[in-house]
Amino acid sequence: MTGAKFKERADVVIRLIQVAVSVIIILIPIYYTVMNSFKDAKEIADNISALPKHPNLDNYKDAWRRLNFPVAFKNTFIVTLFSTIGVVIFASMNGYWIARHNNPFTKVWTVLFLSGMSVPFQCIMITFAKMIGLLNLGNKYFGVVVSFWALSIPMAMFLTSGAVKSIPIEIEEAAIIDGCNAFTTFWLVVFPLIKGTIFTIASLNVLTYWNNYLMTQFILTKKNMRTIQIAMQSLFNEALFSWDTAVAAVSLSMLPLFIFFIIAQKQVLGGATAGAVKG
Amino acid sequence: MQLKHKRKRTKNILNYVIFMGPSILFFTVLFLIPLFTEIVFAFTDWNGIDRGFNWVGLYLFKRVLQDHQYWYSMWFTIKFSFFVVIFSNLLGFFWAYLLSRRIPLANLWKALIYLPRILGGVVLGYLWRFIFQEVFVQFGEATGWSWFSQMWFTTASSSFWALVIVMTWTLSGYLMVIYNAGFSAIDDTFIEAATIDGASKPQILFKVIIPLLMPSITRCLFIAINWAMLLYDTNLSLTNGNPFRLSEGVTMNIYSTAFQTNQMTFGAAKSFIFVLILVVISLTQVKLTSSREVQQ
Repeated sequence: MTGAKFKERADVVIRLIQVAVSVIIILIPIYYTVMNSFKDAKEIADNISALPKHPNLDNYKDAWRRLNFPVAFKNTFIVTLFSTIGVVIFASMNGYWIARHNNPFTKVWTVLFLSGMSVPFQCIMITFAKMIGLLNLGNKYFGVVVSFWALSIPMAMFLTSGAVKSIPIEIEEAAIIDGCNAFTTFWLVVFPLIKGTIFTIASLNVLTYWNNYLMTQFILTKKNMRTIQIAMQSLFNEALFSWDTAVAAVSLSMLPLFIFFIIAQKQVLGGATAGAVKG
Repeated sequence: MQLKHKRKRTKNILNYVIFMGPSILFFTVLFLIPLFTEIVFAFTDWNGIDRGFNWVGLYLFKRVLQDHQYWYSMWFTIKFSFFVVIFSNLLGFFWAYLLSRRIPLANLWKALIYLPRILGGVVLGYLWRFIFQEVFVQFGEATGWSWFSQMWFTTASSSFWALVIVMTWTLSGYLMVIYNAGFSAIDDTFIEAATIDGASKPQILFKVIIPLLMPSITRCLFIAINWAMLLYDTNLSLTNGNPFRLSEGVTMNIYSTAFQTNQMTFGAAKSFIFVLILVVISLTQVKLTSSREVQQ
């Protein structure tokens, strides 16, 4: 008996060592980037592994100014916030209605929304860019927000649809008898019951929106409209720079994501499994 | 009675407008119409500006077939995806396996393994450019391992492997989470029964766990294939096609055709063929792996 117990203990220890080693290897790139962002260019060139001799924020000041970080952060934040709120509202209402009404009209739209999940943005980007120009949505927050809605409604809708189907319909029938209409039934009765799924959708999309580059760059081209991703791309494209500023810029743009991940870790990890249908 | 019926009908239509209207509107204008027109334009000579255009039939598709650079980038993307899919799935599975038994701080490990995945877009590529061009080079010089100290992004193979490494790094943790959910859905009694019957650990892994995990494997392979094939942001920031467009993925090829050389319809034909190939690959994979799924 003690032998078996010992074996189990040893198994745990071996697993623990393997996991710890893996985690260290995974984190090395991030560690090196952040650590070197506190050194000057000469120190980086001399010995990249040495800890900073005189840790200072000079690189960050430079990166802050070159990225125009406050503006880029504000733009990214506004776009992410309104895209997320909108997708949660519109997709959950849509998903609820489709889950509860099975007729030819909803069936046709289910198939069409399904196509939205299986066709990648790459396939529509050329005419999408034309459409943005045609509708005069260029360089407007609204343009990006609406586009994110359009592109992420399908998946969010199917996730809510699935969640709604697991709720007994009797609850809604009772609400109707109590004098609720469809709108209030959804918002007062159903929505609170699918909160978990809603948080999952939101956290999943926050990261997607925050990190998006390909779609945003069609819309936000003006200097004062840049998101962090676009500001980063133009920083590396335009300016002659040394790695000391560059690593500070990279670290600076990672920081909001880390903070978000620490706060919403549970939802993000839950979203990874739920949203696995489309990355 | 008639009036009441009519009023109910109007109310019903109003509900459809409220609940489905916004989604249908945005989705139609910014997804369905672009999708439809992109397919149509692949058969025309529209230059993107003029009102008029002519039908050119399959002319553009014939041109795509003769475009060497396009097929080079297609083959590059498929090769790249192949390695990324294998590596990231093996790693993701391995980590999920390690975390499938109770170990201390399991949630912390999980979060740390997942961490690379929250970084995305072009930032991911620039982070790794620093690692390859500075950290790897100094490491290689210090240890004498010349593979690390090579001139990154100046040869086709160094750009290729750099992309494979970065994509594997960012994808493995994500797949780990999905495999992990699969592991926790497995009924422990199967493994206990196999242990009592005297099965060895590898036997349990290959004869019990893997067959039961087939749904997760189907899903993870699908995600990995799609993610890798659609690569763009990291491609742009890490290698930007260097050297001489030898590390150019399909999306980057389509992008430069449509927006840098302004051949919109030619780009549309290219993306049409790309999506067809992607769908064929994913469907084949789903068919192959889901046929091996077993009921628990």
